Amino acid sequence: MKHFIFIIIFNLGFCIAHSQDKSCRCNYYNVSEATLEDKLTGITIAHENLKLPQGEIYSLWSHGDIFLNNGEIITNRLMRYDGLSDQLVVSSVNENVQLVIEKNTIKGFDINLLNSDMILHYKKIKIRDIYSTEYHDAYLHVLVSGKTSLYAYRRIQHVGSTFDLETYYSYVIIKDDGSIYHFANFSRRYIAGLFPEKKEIFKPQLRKQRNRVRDEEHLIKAIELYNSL
Amino acid sequence: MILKIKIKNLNRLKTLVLISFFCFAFSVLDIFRSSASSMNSDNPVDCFYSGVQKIFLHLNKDVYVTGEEVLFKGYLVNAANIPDTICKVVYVEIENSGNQKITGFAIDLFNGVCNSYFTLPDTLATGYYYVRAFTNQMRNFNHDYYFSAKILVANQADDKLEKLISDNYHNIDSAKVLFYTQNDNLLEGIENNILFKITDFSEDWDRQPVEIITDSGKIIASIVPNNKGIGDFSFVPEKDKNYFAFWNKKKFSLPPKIKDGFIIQTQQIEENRINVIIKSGTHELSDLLIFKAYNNSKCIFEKEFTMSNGAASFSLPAEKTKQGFSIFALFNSAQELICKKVYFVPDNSELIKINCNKAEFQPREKVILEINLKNKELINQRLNLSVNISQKGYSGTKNNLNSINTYLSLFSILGKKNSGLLESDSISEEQINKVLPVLNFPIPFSKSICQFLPENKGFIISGKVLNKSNIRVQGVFVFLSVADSFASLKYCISDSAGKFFFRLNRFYDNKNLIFQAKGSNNEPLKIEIEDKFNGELPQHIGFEYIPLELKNYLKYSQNIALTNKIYKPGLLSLLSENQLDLSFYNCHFYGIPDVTIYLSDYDELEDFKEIVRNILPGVYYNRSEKRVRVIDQGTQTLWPNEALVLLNNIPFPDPAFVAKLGSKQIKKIDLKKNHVIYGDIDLYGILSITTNQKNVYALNAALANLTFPNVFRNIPVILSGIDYGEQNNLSKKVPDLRQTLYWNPELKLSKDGKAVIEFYTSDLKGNYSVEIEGITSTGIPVFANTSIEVK
Repeated sequence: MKHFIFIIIFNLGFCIAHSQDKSCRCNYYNVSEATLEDKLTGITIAHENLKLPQGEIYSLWSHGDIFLNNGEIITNRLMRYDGLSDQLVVSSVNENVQLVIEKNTIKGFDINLLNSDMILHYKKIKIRDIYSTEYHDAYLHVLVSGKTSLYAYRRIQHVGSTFDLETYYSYVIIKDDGSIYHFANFSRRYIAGLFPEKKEIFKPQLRKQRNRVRDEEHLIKAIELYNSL
Repeated sequence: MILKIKIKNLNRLKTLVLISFFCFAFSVLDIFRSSASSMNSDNPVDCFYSGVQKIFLHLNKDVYVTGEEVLFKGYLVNAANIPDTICKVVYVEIENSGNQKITGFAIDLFNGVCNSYFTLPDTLATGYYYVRAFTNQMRNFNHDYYFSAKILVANQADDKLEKLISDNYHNIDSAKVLFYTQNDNLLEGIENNILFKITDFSEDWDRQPVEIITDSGKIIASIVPNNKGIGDFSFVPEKDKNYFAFWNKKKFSLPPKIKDGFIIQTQQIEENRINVIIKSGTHELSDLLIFKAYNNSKCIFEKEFTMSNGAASFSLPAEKTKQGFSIFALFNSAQELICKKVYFVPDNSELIKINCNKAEFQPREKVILEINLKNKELINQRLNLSVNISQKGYSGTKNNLNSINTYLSLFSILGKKNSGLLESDSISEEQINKVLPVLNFPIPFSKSICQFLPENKGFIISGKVLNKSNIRVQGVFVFLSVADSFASLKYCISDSAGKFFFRLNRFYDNKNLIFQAKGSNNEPLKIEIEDKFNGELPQHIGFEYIPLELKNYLKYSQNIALTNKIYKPGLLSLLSENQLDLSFYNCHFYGIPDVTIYLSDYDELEDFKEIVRNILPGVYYNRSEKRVRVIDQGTQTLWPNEALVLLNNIPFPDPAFVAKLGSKQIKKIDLKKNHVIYGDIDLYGILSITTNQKNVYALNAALANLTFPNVFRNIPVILSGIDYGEQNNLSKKVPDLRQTLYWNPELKLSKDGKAVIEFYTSDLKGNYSVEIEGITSTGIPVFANTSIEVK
């Protein structure tokens, strides 16, 4: 029995050693890509035991790429979008540290969703909150990118004065002339009203497609339809 | 019960045996697989195709006067001649014939092409100079792949040109005879083809023959060189004899004689068949040999054979060896390369036709050139073309042999030693295929680790940190910054070899880069930046002789340059607005400061201590220690560690210098109070001081500091000349002595493959050559030329 275990360990060891040897072979250059990458700027946060809404994307740590303001890309970092503070949190090289990335230094990020091929694109855009007059930088999830772009602002907020959290989604449409519309509730009439220049074509087309623009999926279809007109 | 246990154990044993077997089988298979792959990667011909790049520069002229602009366009391709769109930076340097660097700069590549210009310094002495071009990746191989073009430069103020024309500069006694053979040796017992070139050969000399003589004095061959000093012959070296060459009463040695070896000879017997003859000095050879022919990174032909009576021959379908070069390689049964040869098929196909409205023109007359793409299949491809129309005042002119198509296919792989032969049109294509195809192509990736990184994401600058004893130091923080309106700090920790690397984007172009090294102890350090131009370049071979015709043209060009200097017909215009987009550089590396103070808003304060005390609440400055600390915004307590001080966005300024700064010197102060983490560095507050006077590099002398000018020349220009159609009186009076009439590095063809170029001739009479060089997106080099005459 001991002999067999020894053989298995020996063989496995051999395989591992050999595979390591091969990886050395492939290492042509004496500098890793990470050495050449730019550095991230942020502040540290303590681990918070918040009851994040389960099953939502922002409760998960995923790998992704960060696009810096200077055009550089920092790839494959463990990250999480914090919907409560609208911040990007990156697990530092030292895994015990969570770093809140300085918003002014980046222009967006991509999150590769765990156990999925889906990549979520986030872009930093200056918007005004629905009932506010002040503009601020927000990380918006890109739903439609084109002549007219559609973004989702996926936030978490406290329920009343309690510590419970709930999701709060709002949407942003940026038209090619630069006008920005930020809304939480929408309907076919509301969306068609945002595009008065093509209202006469757009609204009948929506009707034809039986798109009542009641949810996010239909909103995406509506904007894609508008872009195709 | 016992039986059950036994059966159970037996099953377990079976499982273990099975697992063990699989593991063993896997490991054995893995060994075979890896040994097979390593065998492949050890094949130098395959390696040749794996990572090689070649670059060609299209220059507007080859004779210049100091102070003149050298216009150029660069084409970078991989080993299969496909434009290399991955590499982002190319380096160009000018060196004199003594291999001393005159100037060097970097240019950004866009989709494998770059175009710009540089001005020849006024201080250059008259003589030959070399324009070299290379990429960082090319530095991993030997310098044979570097582009090298020889230009002749006359100093504008050189009044000794007359003397140069008449003096005894060119001496027959200093000339040498160089021999070129296949495999660099003479092979005993079989016929060897030998090519020779007399260095510094003058057409004025008597054509003395080169004589090949045995040690017993018997003349084997006597060959008269051609007007360029080149000739070829063949003979069978015998075992017991030694051979020498005699020319101009001087003795020259031939390449050394060897017993064992192979020679590959080619003979085009029919239009569609090439006869390959392999000869060996060893007659008793029964081993299996493998012949492989490669063309554009693919093995196009393979044949296994054995030698009989020291020779073997077989035919190769000619259509497989397409235009350009093919590598013929001979391997032994152990897959070792034993002989190699280039087979060259010149590309004589005319892809582009140039039609001119007239053949002869008056000075200041309009010229209309119509360019037609003859091969309509190329219309759908992206074509990169450059057009040059320059005066040719001497007989040497660009032809098929020194154009882009020959360069990319042949020159760049033959190595400097052999390509010296091809610098002029002195060698015939027959001679190339007869003897020259002995190539010494370098074997890429001969080292397990490549030293120089491919710059596929931008310019990489590297260096090393040394201590006082010049020993490399690891684990040192090296900071890189520039004095700019936004702080853009980068850092790297020196590796085990003391090296550090930074990848820079275009923000850093043409800026003084400031490097600062900070070790953990107070050991004095120094920084050395790697000079990419400081390679061990091969010596240039002779060819310093300036023919009389060229000397006269040089004098002529010198007079023209003098007139042009007075009237300044500077007609270069920026081709495209290839301006650096700095819109993304709108933020400091640390984000937005918490507090910004403009000193002009306050009463005058004498020194930094006064400023801190009066207008910077939350900052503590210790005058004796010259340390700055900041109060944390959250806890309102002083951070225990020193804050990072930036002076004009450069870190670690001289504390004594900062201490003296008062309101008069400081423009503004930015303060970041938070504890910021930048990469792996903790910054306990940041105090950024911007002074009124720029370029103040008061750096902390306790650290290793180095300023490095990052010279980039991204200035694509077009030269379209003067429009005499709308001439005014002023332009009539000003002499127009342009030698380059038209230069367009980005010629665009219409959808039907046509383009029309219009320009005016200058006052200079003579022949002008019209050259179009370029490459298609699939790697087909394009060359077309014609000439016009101004009478």
